[in-house]
Amino acid sequence: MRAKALLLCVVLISGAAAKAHGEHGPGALFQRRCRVCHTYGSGDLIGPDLKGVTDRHTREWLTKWITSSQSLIRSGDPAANALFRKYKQFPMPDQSFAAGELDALINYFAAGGPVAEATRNRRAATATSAEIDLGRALFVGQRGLASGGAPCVSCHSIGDIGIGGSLGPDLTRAFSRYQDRRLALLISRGCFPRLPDISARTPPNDDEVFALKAFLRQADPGQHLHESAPSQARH
Amino acid sequence: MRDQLLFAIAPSLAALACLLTATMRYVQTRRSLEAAEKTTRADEPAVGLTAWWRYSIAVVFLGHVLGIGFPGSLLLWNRHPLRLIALESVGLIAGTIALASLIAMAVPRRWWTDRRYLQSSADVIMATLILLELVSGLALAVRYRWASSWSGVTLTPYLRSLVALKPSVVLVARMPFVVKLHVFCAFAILAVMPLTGLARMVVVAVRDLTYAAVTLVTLVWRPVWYARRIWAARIRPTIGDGEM
Repeated sequence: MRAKALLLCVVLISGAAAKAHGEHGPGALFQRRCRVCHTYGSGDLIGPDLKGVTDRHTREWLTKWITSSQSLIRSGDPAANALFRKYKQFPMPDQSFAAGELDALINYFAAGGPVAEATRNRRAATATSAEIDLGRALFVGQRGLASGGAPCVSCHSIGDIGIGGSLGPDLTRAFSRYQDRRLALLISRGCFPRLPDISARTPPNDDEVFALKAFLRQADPGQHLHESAPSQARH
Repeated sequence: MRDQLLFAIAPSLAALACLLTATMRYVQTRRSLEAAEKTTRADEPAVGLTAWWRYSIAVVFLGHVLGIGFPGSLLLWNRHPLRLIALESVGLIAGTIALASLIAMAVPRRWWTDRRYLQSSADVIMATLILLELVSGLALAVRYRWASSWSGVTLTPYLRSLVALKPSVVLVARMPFVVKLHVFCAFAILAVMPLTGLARMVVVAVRDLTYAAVTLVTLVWRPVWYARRIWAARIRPTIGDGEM
């Protein structure tokens, strides 16, 4: 009982701290509200590992569970009761969210959570040579995108790759033009709008986006000049 | 709005017009089909320029059908640069031969004045549309490289959205003018075709395909039917013994 009271205090204090600091985005929400009891991809803590939670439960169920787990347990929901028993009958405190926050949080879990976010935020300059090679293979089509989409070379040309397409612009200086985060955002959106009713294609995944970004950076001659400039200045 | 009109409404109307007109013409011309077919074959033997035209346009048409039907396989094929270049070269060469042979047939014979070749206004429109389709196809193949790859994620989903009766023009609307012209001409050809001399060819093709399908089903079904009869004949005495 004391443990439950302690847990409740921790959650309430962390919730209050979050409000005091102001929560921006589902990543911050996860860090401040969920991390006390849950991990994402590092195994169970007080509550279950949240990696793949959107595959295990429906969005509707998650909404009910997060806003009032006890109501769901009392309603006799088998999944809720199984979870309650599995985690030593520690009740998950009810959470309240501003409009749209809970949907954003569930979307965040569905999109890979903090693991994917870390990949998305990673700078292209930190890429290994293997990741750059992967980016090149994805660009020219030697390796297919997980989504089954067309490789970049179908429409774009770049630097030393002589077989690039010409429907889209040359991407040799794309990195200099858009820079790290904006370029990642552009790649992740994909070049063409998707027709969900017609094609099951999805956007490139986070690892592919990072590899492509790293390859574009490596292929950009402006980027090398930009990097060599400070070293020349030092000499 | 203009894109909706050209690439969502017009294709539906073209398909409807094609279906209705082709059905009407089929009913009207079915009886005279044999004679017409014989006359056509006697008049235009598939040699020389006609042969070049027919085979090259068949290659181009088949390439388009395969690309629309199996975009994933095509992307897989195109992963290797040599295979991509080979495929694009075949398409480009076939398209060039088709265009050259069409011009070589039309110009010396003065198709546009000789009523033996272009018998009606629909035939003139059709010839113009085919010419435009070939020129725009070659132009986009040269100007916008690797159409066999990029069309798999742009034009094919668009065409499939039309077939699924959920037209979405967002993919074709962003295409360059020459690509839009190529796509629009294809629908225009579909609409005009049943009104032209080519309708006879389509009707003959539909009839022959139906005949081939019926023959194939019969060939497959006949052994199954015999096997079932033999099996039934073997089983019957056993059932009879049991009853005894």
